[in-house]
Amino acid sequence: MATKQAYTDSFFRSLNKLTGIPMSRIKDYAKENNPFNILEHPMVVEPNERQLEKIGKLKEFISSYNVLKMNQENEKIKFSSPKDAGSYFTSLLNGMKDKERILVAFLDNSNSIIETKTISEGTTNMSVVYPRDILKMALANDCSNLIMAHNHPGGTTNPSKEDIKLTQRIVNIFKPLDINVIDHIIVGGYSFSSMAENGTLPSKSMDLANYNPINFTGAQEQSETYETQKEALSIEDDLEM
Amino acid sequence: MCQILDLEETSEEKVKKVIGEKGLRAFINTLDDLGIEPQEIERIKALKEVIDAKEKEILNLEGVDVDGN
Repeated sequence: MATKQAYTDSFFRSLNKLTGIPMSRIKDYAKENNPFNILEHPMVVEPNERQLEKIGKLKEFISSYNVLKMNQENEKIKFSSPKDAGSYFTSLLNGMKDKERILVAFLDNSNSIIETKTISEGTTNMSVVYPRDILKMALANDCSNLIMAHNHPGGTTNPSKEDIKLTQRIVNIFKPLDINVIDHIIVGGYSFSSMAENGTLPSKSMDLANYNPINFTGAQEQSETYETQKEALSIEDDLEM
Repeated sequence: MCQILDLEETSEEKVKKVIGEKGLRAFINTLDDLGIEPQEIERIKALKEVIDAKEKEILNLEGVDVDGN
């Protein structure tokens, strides 16, 4: 079971050195709160402009640190399971609580990453996805498979109907080109869910490819269970077939 | 990373070279031979401390006993 972590004076001094926020203010905040929340909600320590900028950079570095490590430990990052993909995308997206970011990893035929790109960055509950841009990137990378991922700033990891619809639109574009969408990872906080693992990943092309921009509102909090989602998906399948 | 650490241009080049050769983790763990300013080393150590605390927190959230209790 998770226990409350104790932070040392040395840790507070380090945060002070890196951000410029006075140590007393950091310690005061940390009496009742997790000091890492300062990176997510910097205004709680009333930073000046310079300190705010430093907090932002530190937050960005910490978010990408695990991926940097993985990148250097293995020249190629290979996905062998939804857990591999989930860990990778969680490292990239776990710090994002103020906006939604959608990423795509373009993979070769052994599911090693050729390139990972941000395809959309929106507000807390709205992004615009341009399928034409994803297609251009996929062709430029000559990929065989791809994995999509996005974060739910609210923290839930259940795929919403919008998530499934977005994935279906992308499958409709790539399936006829023999490029497989092998998963869609949803990150909420430090957790993730895999649509492939949950059985909610659309696998067949259900309609003609539609390249119009997609207004995506997938980050809305959803309380539906996977069963409800799967049911909705199978009804749509029945209607289309 | 170099932006967080406010490194001088020459120090930044040295850091990048070492990270390229040894990797990020090894770099953070062996700072003494870098030949950069002591205050820059202090800031790198500070970054290491924050990263370590974050890693510990994540393990803790995942239910891993990081303190051996």
